[in-house]
Amino acid sequence: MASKKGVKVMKVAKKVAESGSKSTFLKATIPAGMATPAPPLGPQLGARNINIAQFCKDFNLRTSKMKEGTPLPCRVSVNADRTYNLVIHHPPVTYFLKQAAGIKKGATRPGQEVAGKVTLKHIYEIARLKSEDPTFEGIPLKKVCERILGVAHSMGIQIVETVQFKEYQRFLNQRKTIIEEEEKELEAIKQAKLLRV
Amino acid sequence: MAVVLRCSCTLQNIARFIPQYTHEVLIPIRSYAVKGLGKIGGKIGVKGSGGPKKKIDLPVEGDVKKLIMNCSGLNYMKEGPEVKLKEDHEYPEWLWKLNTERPTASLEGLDEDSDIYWYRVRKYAKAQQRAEMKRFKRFIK
Repeated sequence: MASKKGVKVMKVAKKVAESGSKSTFLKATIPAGMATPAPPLGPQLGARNINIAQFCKDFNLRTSKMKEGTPLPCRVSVNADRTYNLVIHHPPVTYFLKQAAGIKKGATRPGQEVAGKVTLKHIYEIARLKSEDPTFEGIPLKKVCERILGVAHSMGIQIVETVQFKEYQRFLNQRKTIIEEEEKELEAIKQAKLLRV
Repeated sequence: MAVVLRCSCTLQNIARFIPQYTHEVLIPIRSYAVKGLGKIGGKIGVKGSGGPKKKIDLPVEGDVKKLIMNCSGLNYMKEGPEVKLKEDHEYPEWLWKLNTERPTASLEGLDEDSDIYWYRVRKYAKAQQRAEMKRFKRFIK
């Protein structure tokens, strides 16, 4: 029984083979400097008849100046002559928000718990950068800010007037312990599942 | 498919007379757990189909002072200065008027003529449908 992703790849390959000149658009988030021919990227490229090794080399070259591992949303469109257009966007808003708040994980129950705190200034700076993305072309900066606020709310990041040093330090330490406990619980559930199967 | 048996099943007959239990009783169809077995069998057979993603641990700024003074992580290049946050007056006026509260959608106070009202009505109807589907999930094949 083929996996979901396997089926998807087959479908794309079939589509490309059938349509001939038409090609399917690829949306993927690739860590900077870490494009590998391995799945999940490899089969996705292969299904669209893109030279995988060349793509990885090209991508890693273009992202060589960026911090390794930064998630980068990419959009790849393929031409009829097997050349591709690779557009690399700025990292996702969730990444920026987590970095700005100094946290690694968002909230597991957004709305009921707070994962981190940022100020409106942070939001503005993030919006300024993200507005350069093709998706935000022609959209006023205010709207971009509102979008980012929405993302912040969905991951449990609170927007405050100012972040007080001592208070926030305490808050981060508390979050650390909470996250450790949550991870332990998740591990326990995972182990239990393995034992059952 | 959800099952509503119109048979002379004892359980169904009893349920008809107990109002609060009527809506709870849907006779579940006994079916073989084909899906589950299939998946496990498939996993053993298929060779490493897109294995578990390796989690990349990204470094996060630990110094709270730096978190306050600049927008950490915004400059994701290897070299280059951190983006410093500017003074209050250097930011546009509309920024301070943005609604930072988590939006709680409700139908109160909305005009029935507005689009938003009906978007929300639809949203709630969908959410309700989803909740119902979840409740009767085990009776639906």
